Amino acid sequence: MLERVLEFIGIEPARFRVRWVSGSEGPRFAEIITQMTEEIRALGPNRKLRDVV
Amino acid sequence: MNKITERMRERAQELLAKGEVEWVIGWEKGSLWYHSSPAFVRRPEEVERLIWDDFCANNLAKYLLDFTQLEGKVALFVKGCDSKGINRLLQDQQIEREKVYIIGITCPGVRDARKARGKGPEALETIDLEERCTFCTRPEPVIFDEIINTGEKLPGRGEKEPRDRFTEVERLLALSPDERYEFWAKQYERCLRCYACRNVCPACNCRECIFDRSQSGWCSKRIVKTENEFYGLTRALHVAGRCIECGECERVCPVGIPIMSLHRKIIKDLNELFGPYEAGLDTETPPPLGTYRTEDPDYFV
Repeated sequence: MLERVLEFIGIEPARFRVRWVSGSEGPRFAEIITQMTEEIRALGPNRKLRDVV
Repeated sequence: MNKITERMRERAQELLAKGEVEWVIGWEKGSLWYHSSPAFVRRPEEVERLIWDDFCANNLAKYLLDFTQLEGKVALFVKGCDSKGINRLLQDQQIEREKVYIIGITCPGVRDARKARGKGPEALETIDLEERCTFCTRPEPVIFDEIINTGEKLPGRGEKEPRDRFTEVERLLALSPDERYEFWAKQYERCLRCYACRNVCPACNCRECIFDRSQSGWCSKRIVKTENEFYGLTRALHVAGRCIECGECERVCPVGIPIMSLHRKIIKDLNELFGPYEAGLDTETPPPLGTYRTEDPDYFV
């Protein structure tokens, strides 16, 4: 749901991810995070929903 | 005086005189010809205040929360959309069914008071319907103890098929992500954080709201567009699957943010992901996000 709503207000869906990983699945967790980091790095820094104070 | 008004006064008079209810909630004429405000009537001789006209837009269901400590019963008038608000409060266990006497009105449609600004009463016929009325498929209340049905209808309602309520959502979906971001950022830049949308919403019935806390740690009280947008998003997700689409939030917004477009987007997604569901039709069907079924989408597992 949240993923779709974020997309609707113009945030790249790749910046948000829900995955279920068990406590015993360390390598799977690392793999998901690495993949996500790479994807977000490709998108560049997020300028949306950030106010200049 | 129209037939609905006549019948409303008659019934309110009877209920109050017999002592069946302590209060009657209805509408009365406001200070302007295009304003009809909520009215709270306690004595039988006061029923003359009650009216029904083209501007009785307020959903009165939310006021029931102010009477939960009352010993006796409260009677109130509901239109089709308002009656779903009653189911909302019942399902959320905010009110007791036995303490409410519901007088349904088969709604002829209401007009948009904002469009009447600066015009005289002679322009009445030219004023558009409230947007929600053009989508309306249920003018007759879904829950009631008795019903007032005079068969009246406003022009534009009844003859025409209801419009597709997702048109605006689809228009926004066709834009690029950046355009969509700009659109919403611009809307929420105007937000005053008056919380009128929350206060009027029958699904927003938390006794303590997260946005009333100054140090919730989630959202600050600063009135800047991102915090405002975060507020709007959070509220939309809080009422996801429980929103009855009465459109009151959008109607009361002093700066005209299209809040319902956000809520409808969520409703559209819920219908796609969890199957068709219309909130507030009854009190038995659990809201899609308030229950678990094995066929729920679980691609993230």
